[in-house]
Amino acid sequence: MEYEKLPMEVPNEVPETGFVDPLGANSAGVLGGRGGGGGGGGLISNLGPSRTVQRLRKGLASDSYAQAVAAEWDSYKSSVMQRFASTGTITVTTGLDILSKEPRGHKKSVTAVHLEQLEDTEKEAREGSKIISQQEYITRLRELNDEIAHAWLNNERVSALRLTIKVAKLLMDTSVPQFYPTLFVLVTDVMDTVGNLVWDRIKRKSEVDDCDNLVALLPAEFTADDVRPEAKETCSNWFYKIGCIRELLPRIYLEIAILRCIYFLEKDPPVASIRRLNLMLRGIADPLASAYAHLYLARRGQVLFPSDSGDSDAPNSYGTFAGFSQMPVPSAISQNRDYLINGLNDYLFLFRRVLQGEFDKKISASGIDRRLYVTLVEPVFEWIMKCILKGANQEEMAFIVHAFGEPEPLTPRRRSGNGGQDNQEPVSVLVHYMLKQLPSAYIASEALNILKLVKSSKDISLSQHLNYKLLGEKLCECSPPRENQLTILNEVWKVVMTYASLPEYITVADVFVDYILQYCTEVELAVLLKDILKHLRKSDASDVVLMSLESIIFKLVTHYTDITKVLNLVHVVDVLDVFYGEVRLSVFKRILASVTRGNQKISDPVTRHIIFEQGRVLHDSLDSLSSEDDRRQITRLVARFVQLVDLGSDLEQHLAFLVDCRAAFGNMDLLRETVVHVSNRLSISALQMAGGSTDKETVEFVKACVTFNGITIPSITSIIPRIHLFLETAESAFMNGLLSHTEDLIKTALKCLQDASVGDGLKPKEFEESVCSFLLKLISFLTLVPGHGELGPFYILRGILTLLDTRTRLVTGRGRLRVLCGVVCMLAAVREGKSFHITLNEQVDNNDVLYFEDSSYEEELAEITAIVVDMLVTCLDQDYDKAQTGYQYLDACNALVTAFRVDGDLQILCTGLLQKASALMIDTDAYLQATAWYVQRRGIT
Amino acid sequence: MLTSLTVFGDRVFEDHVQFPLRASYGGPLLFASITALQVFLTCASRSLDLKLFRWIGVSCFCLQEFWDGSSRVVYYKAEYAKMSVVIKLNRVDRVYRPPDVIGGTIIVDTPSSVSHQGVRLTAVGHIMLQLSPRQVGVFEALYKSVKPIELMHKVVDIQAPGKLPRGETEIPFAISLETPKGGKLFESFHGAYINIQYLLTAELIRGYLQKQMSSMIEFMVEERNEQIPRGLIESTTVNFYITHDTQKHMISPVLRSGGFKITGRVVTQCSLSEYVTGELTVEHSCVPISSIDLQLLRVESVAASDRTATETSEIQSTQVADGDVCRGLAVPIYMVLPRLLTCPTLATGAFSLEFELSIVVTFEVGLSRHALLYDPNATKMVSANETLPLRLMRI
Repeated sequence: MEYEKLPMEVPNEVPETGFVDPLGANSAGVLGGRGGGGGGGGLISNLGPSRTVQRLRKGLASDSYAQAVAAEWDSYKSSVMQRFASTGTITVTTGLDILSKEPRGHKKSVTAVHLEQLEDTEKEAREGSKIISQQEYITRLRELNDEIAHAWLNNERVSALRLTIKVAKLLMDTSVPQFYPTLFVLVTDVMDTVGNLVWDRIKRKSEVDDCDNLVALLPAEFTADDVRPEAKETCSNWFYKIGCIRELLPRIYLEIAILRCIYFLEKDPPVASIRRLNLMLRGIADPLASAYAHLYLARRGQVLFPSDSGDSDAPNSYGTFAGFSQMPVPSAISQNRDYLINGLNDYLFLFRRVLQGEFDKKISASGIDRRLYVTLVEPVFEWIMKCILKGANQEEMAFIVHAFGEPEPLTPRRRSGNGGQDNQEPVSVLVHYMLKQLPSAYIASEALNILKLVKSSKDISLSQHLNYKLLGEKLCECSPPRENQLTILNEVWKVVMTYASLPEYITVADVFVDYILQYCTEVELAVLLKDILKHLRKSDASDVVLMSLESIIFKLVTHYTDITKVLNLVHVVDVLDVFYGEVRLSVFKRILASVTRGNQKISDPVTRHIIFEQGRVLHDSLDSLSSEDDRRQITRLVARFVQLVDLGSDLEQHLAFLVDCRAAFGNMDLLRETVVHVSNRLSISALQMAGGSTDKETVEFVKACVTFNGITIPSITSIIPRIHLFLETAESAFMNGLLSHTEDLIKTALKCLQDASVGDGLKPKEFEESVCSFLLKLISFLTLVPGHGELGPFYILRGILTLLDTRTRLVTGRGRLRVLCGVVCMLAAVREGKSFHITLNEQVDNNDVLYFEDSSYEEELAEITAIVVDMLVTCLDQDYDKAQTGYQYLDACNALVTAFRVDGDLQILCTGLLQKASALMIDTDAYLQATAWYVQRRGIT
Repeated sequence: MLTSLTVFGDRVFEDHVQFPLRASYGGPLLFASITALQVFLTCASRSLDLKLFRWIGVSCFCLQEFWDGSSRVVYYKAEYAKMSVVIKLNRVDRVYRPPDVIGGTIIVDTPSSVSHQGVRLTAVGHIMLQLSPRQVGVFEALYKSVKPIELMHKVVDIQAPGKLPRGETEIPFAISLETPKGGKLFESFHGAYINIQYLLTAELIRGYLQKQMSSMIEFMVEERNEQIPRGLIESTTVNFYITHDTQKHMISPVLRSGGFKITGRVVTQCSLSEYVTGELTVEHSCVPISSIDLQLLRVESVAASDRTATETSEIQSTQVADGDVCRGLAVPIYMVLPRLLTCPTLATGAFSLEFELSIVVTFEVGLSRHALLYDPNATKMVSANETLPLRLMRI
């Protein structure tokens, strides 16, 4: 007799004419595709959906909704993997050795086999079980994955199935709980792939006949009526095959994996099947395995319901399962939530037992504690809650909150027996993820109810303070009804203030500061701050606490734009005192930054004092090891603060403050500059207040200012700001009529230059430029400054010229020329005799007035002019740069022509200059042409 | 162009004869050896005309093809284009319910035209009974084999004597499946000691000296669904309870002293196309439970002369609870009935076929390895069970 295929087996109808099953080929690409590197961390990602898998998912059979759901999971999955990534070893019992190829004893009685397995776990201690690393485990899984692909490709679908079952069996082993989430992800990847392969295959079967001829493509939204009977036959065969798996857990996983295929057989969503699977999960006693099985059902179940299956009219009776004690779910709840709610509720029954410590012996045997064990289940709660609440309407949300919040009517029917669960408070981890998923608008409107819920959930699965924190965050997003706002705060605080753990307390307080700022008044804020302070005094603040405190302060500072307001709040200053170490610095920086941002004058003495102290702390924190950035940032902040301080008319006090600043912030150049600027500002405002003429008191004050500057400036390291500040101070002294001071200051500045070494930290070019501009500025100032009684009217100018002569390298080339041209112009201006500056102070006369009609003055002026012109000409000859020389000639020519009436020698000089310039330059040069034209206009040919 | 072909060996169409084949094909030589049903050809030419094979009477398809240096090596799997007869049924699952008509085609493929004296189709149904050696003893089992009971025997001549042309010929047929008068067509069933099998044989009748051509295929017979009101079935739920007192075998003292109670209910009369359903609840158990399994047992009884040999064997085991399940929480009982291994419960004079459902609760008792090795009853001592008769029906 010929070999006949049993109908049970999946017939391989693929004709053997070299035809390669496109799905099979694809799957080989998928599963066989080992990533290139294959080392280290790449292993996990290799097992994950490769690009080929993605393509497969998008392939001919899977519709877009399934893809969307899969994509959502993909992103969540990697977060789970990261969360529970660990590198340890796993003890693999020989009974579960996944690589043993021979099918295990079918002939033995099942009980015997089962007991053998039990025995194995006992044996393991004695006979030395295999200990492999997680990496190896993952590698093994990948090998298995390959084997499945290979089998599928070779049309050995039954052996592919057998291998898949083996992989699913791995999930029965919960002996290394920390690895379980990772294992789950890896195994379900395989399950998903197999599920998709089956789906694709049946779909293909429905579209082509035995001889590979296309019959008809299935429409995108097909129903069971469109499917060919051959495909239906194959499909139900798969369900039968899987239904015959002995072990409960693999059977459930595989059925879930292929559950989507039920659409080939039935029109309506498989409500009854899902419900049955849900109930079957009750048979899994291991809390971890059960939790993740629920997760898988929730995940794959999503695909089964159209996203908006709000009120489908599928039968609501569940056949023989109608008698099961389950939560009475109102008909308003859509079916895709119904099973999740029931499943979760069932699971909670088991989970509560974990919380009560019934599994402690087992948990500690695996080397972790209950708290850690519970966190392993968290992703399950998170995902299921997400599924339950996705797109839920008001009514559904109300039910869900009620269902999990007040569990009395919902627990499964209790019968007599041990292990009674009298503790029926809501499980806090569940409450947490429920809060997380509920829209904040809903939470706000139901705040009081939810508050009750949070209050009553205080088991170890999740610390209660996290729930309060989350609640606070949600309430900040959306405002609760006005009349409840204060009640909520009071209710929360009643519980929170009893917390013994400071970090927990402060975390909640942090969030609720936000809440108070948004919805309450300063009174509540003061109360809260006082309470915080009380807690802080009770125990030492750790770093975590300080971080939260910092965030509180930051919120206050951001909320009130005016820093004075914040600092004047009761208790804020006391809270600030709590800080120490790095956090203190960062808080102070934040406060100073907010001052800078606020850009408002600081006149409040308390605020000024506090911030000053904070600045000092920051300043003192800087040392040789601090980074340049840090130093610069702090200096800027402090300097800006000093600028913003305003003491109104109390100038003396202000100067005293500046003295304090100088003393306190000794390490900051920028700050000294700021202080000098401010002090100059003070002396000018003194003059203004005195109304333009200085009385004795003002003079004294200004003298003080100038002296202050005179002491301060020399301590500034870099020379350029130093000389500029000298000049600035000289100007302010001059305006206040302090001539001798002015002269001294200018002399000091020049002396500085005299002693300065070229460069001074700057590039030579820049340095020269700065010096040059300083000199020009000084020269222009000299038009106002009167001469000295004994040393003559131009002794400062002479000093400058001497400086230029002695320190030839200080200013060279065109810069030198510019300075000399400036001098020429200045002399011309002085000769002009008109005081073109309007001075504030009428008590100061300039040279013009001092030496009016004095012939020796005229002579001296002529003499010095001659010297300068001479220098100018000498200077011109010194330069060798051709391109520059032309311009220099023109510069000089322009200056001379502008300053003097040109005749005689000068005319020859000028024309000579112009000719030399035109010889060196192109005729079309604009400067040349303009100069030539100008010279012509002045009547020189 | 095939220029010459020499086949060494006299009969190409003989099975199990290995012979060399040498063909000159436009120049390069072609060597082939035909072993049984396969021809491997090493071909040095670039393209090999399949006409060659048709000429020598084999049909072939490419198995593997690769370049070996300069020449192409092709391994062809060739099959004799010997005459073949294949039956193809019109139903994929080959399941027929009396009085269905079995339809299909007989496909005859011949390399040359062939004359025959008729095409005949035979449908037979047998119940093959065997005695379990354990029950009646080895010798008795060997010698006292029970005669097979014939359920049906139907011969239909499809075609009158004539000639079939070369190539594929499809001969459609239809044969009705009737319940014999006074008898019954039992469902197809493959058990350990009872086999109910239906076969369809197509025969090409030829002369005495020529080889007879035939082909055989099994088809499944299922009973028609009985129309029984649903309400009747629902009422056959059986409540059961398993406690330390209900156990017939010895159980471990730990179990006995602590006690346990597992209750539940099962629908014991169920349709073959559906599942065994029910629920069970662990009310209390002092010893943790390691597993609860459902076992589907098959009870075959064969009457031999004056006694009946009954043999119970396990067909399928399904776990419903893994580990120490929550007390007081109803766990569903749900078992898929394996096709082919089950059929409606039946009892006739000569034999009976029944099914039972056994609920086995295994406890996690720390038994020493010693006990497990040396005490054969040890494994039994840590489990409790309850067996319920199951009536399977075709509804």
